[in-house]
Amino acid sequence: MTTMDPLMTPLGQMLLEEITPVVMLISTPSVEEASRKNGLSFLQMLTPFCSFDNIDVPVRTASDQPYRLHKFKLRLFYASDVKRPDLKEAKEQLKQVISEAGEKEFPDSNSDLPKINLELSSSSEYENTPSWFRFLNKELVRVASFSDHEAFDHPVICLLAVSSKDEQPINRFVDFFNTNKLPSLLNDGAMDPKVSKHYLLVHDNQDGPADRASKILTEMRSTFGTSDCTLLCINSSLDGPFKHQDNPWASYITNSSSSPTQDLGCFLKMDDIDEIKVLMQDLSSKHIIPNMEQKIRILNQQVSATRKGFRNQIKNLWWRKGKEDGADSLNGPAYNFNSIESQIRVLGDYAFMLRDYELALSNYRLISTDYKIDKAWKRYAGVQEMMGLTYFILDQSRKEAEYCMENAFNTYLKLGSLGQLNATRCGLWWIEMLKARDQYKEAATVYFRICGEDILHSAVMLEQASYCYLLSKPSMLRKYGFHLVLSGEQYKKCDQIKHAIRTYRCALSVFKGTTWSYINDHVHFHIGQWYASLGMYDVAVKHMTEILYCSHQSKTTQELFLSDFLQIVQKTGRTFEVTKLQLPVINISTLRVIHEDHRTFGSPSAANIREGLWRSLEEEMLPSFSAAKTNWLELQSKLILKKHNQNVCVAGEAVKVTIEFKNPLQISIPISTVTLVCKYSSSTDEVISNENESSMEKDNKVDRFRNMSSDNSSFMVSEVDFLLGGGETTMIQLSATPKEEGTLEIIGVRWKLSGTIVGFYNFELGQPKKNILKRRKTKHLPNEKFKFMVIKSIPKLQGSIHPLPGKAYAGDLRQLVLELRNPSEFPVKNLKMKISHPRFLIIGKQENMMSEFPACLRKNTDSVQSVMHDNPNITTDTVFLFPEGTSVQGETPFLWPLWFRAAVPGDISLCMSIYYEIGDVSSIIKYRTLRLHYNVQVLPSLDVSFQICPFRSRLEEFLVRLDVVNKTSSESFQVCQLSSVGHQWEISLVQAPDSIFPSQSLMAGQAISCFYTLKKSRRLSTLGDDVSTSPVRSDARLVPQIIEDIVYDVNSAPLVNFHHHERLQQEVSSKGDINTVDFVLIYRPFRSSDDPGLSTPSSVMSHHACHFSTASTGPISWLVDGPQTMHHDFSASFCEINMKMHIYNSSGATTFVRIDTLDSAGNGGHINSVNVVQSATTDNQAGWHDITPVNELKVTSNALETQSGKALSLESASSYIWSGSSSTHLNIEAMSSVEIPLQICVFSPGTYDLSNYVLNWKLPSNGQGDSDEKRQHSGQCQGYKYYLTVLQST
Amino acid sequence: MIVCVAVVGHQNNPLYIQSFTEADDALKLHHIVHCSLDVVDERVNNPKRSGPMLNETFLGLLYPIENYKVYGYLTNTKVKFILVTTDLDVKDADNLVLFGTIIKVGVTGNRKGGSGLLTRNGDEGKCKEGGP
Repeated sequence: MTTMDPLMTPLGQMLLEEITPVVMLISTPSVEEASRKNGLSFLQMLTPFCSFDNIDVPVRTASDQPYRLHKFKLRLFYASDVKRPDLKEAKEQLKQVISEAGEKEFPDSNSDLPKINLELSSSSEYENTPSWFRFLNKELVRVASFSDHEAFDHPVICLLAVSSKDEQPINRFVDFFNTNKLPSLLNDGAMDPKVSKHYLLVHDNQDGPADRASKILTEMRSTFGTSDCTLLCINSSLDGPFKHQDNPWASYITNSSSSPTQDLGCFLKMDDIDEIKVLMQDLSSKHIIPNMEQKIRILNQQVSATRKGFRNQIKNLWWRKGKEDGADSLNGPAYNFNSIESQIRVLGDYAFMLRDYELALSNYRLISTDYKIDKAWKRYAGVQEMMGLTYFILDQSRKEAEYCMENAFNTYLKLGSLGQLNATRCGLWWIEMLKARDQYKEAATVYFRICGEDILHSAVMLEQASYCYLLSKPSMLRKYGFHLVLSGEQYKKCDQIKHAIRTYRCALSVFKGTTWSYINDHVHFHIGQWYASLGMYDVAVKHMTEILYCSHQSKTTQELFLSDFLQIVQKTGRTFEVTKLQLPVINISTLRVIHEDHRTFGSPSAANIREGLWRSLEEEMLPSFSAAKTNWLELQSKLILKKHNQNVCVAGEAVKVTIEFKNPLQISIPISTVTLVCKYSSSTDEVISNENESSMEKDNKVDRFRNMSSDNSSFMVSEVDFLLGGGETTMIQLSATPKEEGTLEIIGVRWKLSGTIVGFYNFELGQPKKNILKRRKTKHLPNEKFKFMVIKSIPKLQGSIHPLPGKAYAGDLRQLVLELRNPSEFPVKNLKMKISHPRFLIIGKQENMMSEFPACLRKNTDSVQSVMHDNPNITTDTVFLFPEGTSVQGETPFLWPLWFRAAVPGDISLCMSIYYEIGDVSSIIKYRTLRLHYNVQVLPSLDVSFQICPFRSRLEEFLVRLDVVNKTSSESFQVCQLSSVGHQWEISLVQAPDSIFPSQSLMAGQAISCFYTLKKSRRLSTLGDDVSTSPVRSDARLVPQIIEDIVYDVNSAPLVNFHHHERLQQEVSSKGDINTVDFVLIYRPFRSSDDPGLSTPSSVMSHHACHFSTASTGPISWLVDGPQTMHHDFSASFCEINMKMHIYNSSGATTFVRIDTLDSAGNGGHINSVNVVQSATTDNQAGWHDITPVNELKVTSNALETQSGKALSLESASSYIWSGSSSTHLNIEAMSSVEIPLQICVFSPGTYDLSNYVLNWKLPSNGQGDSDEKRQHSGQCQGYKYYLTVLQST
Repeated sequence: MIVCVAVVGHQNNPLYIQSFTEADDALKLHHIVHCSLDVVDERVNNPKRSGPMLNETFLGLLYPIENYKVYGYLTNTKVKFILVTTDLDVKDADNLVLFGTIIKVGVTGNRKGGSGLLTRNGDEGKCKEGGP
């Protein structure tokens, strides 16, 4: 807390000014007339000299100890003004003061928002709060003056001024004291009418010399006494107006309407002023102060006599109790000026004014209890108020001071309207007291309490309260803002619009940048409205634009905001241009600039594909840079591009920009004339504009738009209109088409909202920072992206594929046509093409254009050879070159067939790029590429699976099981044929087709299985190793011949190519396995009637299943060949049975095979190993038989062929032995078979399972086998069941 | 009667304000809640002045305004819960229980993918610790 002298505080200063002795002035009209010459009333003339900074007068009041007064002030009032101010008049006056302040303080509309400077607020209150508050508060205090319940407004002296011009001046002086001319307060007993008087004779020197005046003065002195009469000569400046350097009146005269301030006192010479000074000083020191001293002493004596001491107090109490009954009125009993209570109050106030605060306080205390007992509340409050102030000045008890002020304030408030003015004054003093002690927060609450019913009054008080929150430590900014808003609301209610705007603008500084959007919107909206009501539409629009992004508001509020906004904009009478229009919201992250240099795009979707994807696709087609070096011309062109490091676009071709517009509101907004804002300059050599220019651009952007829009001869921009529904987001494509060579720069986008307001968005500024940083790294300037070098027009191919379906079922095979057009006059040549997904799209041959589809797929049985030519390797993965001499130009389109097959289900993005060179050599760009992109959705159709297992009974024959499930929800398919593609495979159906498809079609969700026999065609195996060139296929038709006669040729043009790609795609690990089979299933949508469907009728669909290995158990297959049933007479000898084993090596290499025959498990499985190498070595294989003795032979006597399997397995076990070699080793050549003799011995009749042998095979580890590590090199095959029944022959 | 419940983030940003009155007083409540942050700040900076409390996180009566009383609750993560009531005589203990419930609802509702009051600042888990 401060240890400041209370008198030095603002409140102390205020009290020294306001609670000072009153001098009542009475003057004749001629006195006024004389002073009027100076533009002043007589009172005004004297006023500046009523305040003394160092009067230095000794004062002795009640105590004997004298002290000196330094600062002193008198208040001058005309007698007519010594009365309670008229309330109505006072209110009017206050209102005027506020209105004037409103005009004066009204912020410049262009000025920035006021900033809250917290550091400054610590220095001084007065630097932050508007100065007119102090003036207003002074007025408010003054309004409460001349109340009958307090005495410091009682005149202490009466100054009577008569002019020397006046007739009979002595009589005039006497006349003044006619009682009916005195103020009513003096007459009705509220004030002491016996005021001491001072007689002043005023002489106007312009009227002539002062002879007459001196004569009158002597007369006066003889009549009224020597000391009480003074002569004052004014207007000594006879020769003309006199300018004062420091005009003493300037600060006192507030209404400058009458005359300019420097003219004030123009006839008063310095001598005159000195004379006035002396007059006032003498008046104070020689009359007023001594008079007051004297009165204080007299009153003090009286009070001491009647009220001090125990006896007096008791008496007083007794007396007052008796009076109680009559004192019912609100204001208590009426006290005459000479009642003891009034006298005590006068004593207190006089003491206060002479700064004997101890004396004042003791008297206030004394009277306070009296008034309280008397229930004279207003007087009580007045005394409490003074007590509070005295406590404050004495700096004794802060608590006491505050208590007194609060008590006084509350008491005044209780009085209602009677005490309202005093309550305000008391509150203001209280507030100042709190402020002096840094209790700003408490001060704010008092301001809040002062707010009466008067709206204007409360508005000012609320505003002052808000500043208290700002000044409190720590600052309570939010409360500051809130009270400003409250205050602004009140100002608005009493039409003080300018004040309202001012307060709201201050509040804005608090809410700005916070996320309290409701409050922000409210403040901006009202400022906007109010500015509009003042006709300041420009500023209004500025504020209104802040609230357009109000997605958090309710729909009705949004409508209100928008409609008000548009109304204001309309009132401006012009199309308004706003650089920060938030409606609609532009999503800058979606911004894409598409321009075509050597890259051209067939469709917008093609432009959306990643550049890297295109690059990798075009890599092979484009002439490489190293190759370009051979051609100096081309090298140069590249250099040009490099030097400029700039985007290139072609005259006449549009640069497209796509950007997303979003409507954050719930109501729809019409957007019109959305265009790109571009800058064009004709020079191509212009290097990238320097930084200075771009910064300048920001300032006068709006101006530049206008220039842009008018000067559009060298380029064209597209215009888009659309309606954005509530919450909608729309992608907009805009374009700018340069017409001539030069430089084109895209600056931003502009649009018109609701036809009245133009918004602009600068792409450059809106770019996310991250992007810019990234660009800096690569040493690109940020505006690179939007700057284009325009080169002269060159041909551009237009291309399309039709009819490419958007949706297709998997397997669907179509014939498509690529159509290329070149509208320009120059031809293009050297066309090349590449397709991203050759599995889906392949390039056909020119002659395919003529053939009819799907008839061209029909198998042509008589010309097998022609089909053979189709080498599927031709089109794989390489660039397709259009025939030499192909040139596209003019009206006629260039057509080329394509084949499409929906290979697998899913969303497929097909990209193709067409390269062409430009005939005109003079152009910078030598070649261009046309990029086409299509999306195809492939739906699943049939789920096809194959299972292959070998026949046990026949070598190189397999059973194929085909499972087909219709995966569609509604479509039916007709399965036409299954063809095998591979090495010498023949396929045939096991059942008749009719039995498989009774309804001829496969309904949605239906599943079927059918079985085929797959057989290796032996007749072609002799053709040699080159199997790939001579594939033999076999087709198994699933449709009865009566219905459909077509057999599709899977080796015809598109099918074989697609099959090739499928093969590549379905590559499995067993690459070297030449023993695989591929299947092609051909089916088509089935329509019983004219059912409109997804795909066109007569279409063909194919499913390709590749790399099915037939050798599931290994590279070898074998067959045991021997008798099934034998008759033998066991009585003669055991039975020796010879059998054969055929082993086929289906692998591509010589395989080592070892056959181990195992005797029955019960015998201990003894294996004898004898190496016998067949075919490679010619060892003796025939020879001895090692016959293992048989122990515990179990011979089933009743063994019958018809016995059950269980019996067989039990009893057939180990009742035979393998004779001959128990282990045979052999090498089998690739793709060949050998025959091995086997022999068993049977000792009793029965049925035997000859499965206990094992085939071990081993591939050579070197050679082909090495290519695939995963491949199995060796394995073991268990023998399979072979039953032999031996019967006892009779 | 509870007039309004508000949740304010640790940067004094409004996360959630729900008024329970029929009247269209959203703006007023926004202002009241916004102002209460001043008092919250003051309480946090001068903890001794508010005297002994039931729970350190419970800020008690922040200030009375018009016919309302504003209570505050501060979690460990500086998320503030503000309660505006018209009840003139409420015990602090009752309010504390109420805040506990509100926070619980806020947290559990969040877990169920409900209001999502706290997820924006990732305060979900921590918030529970601050609860009674």
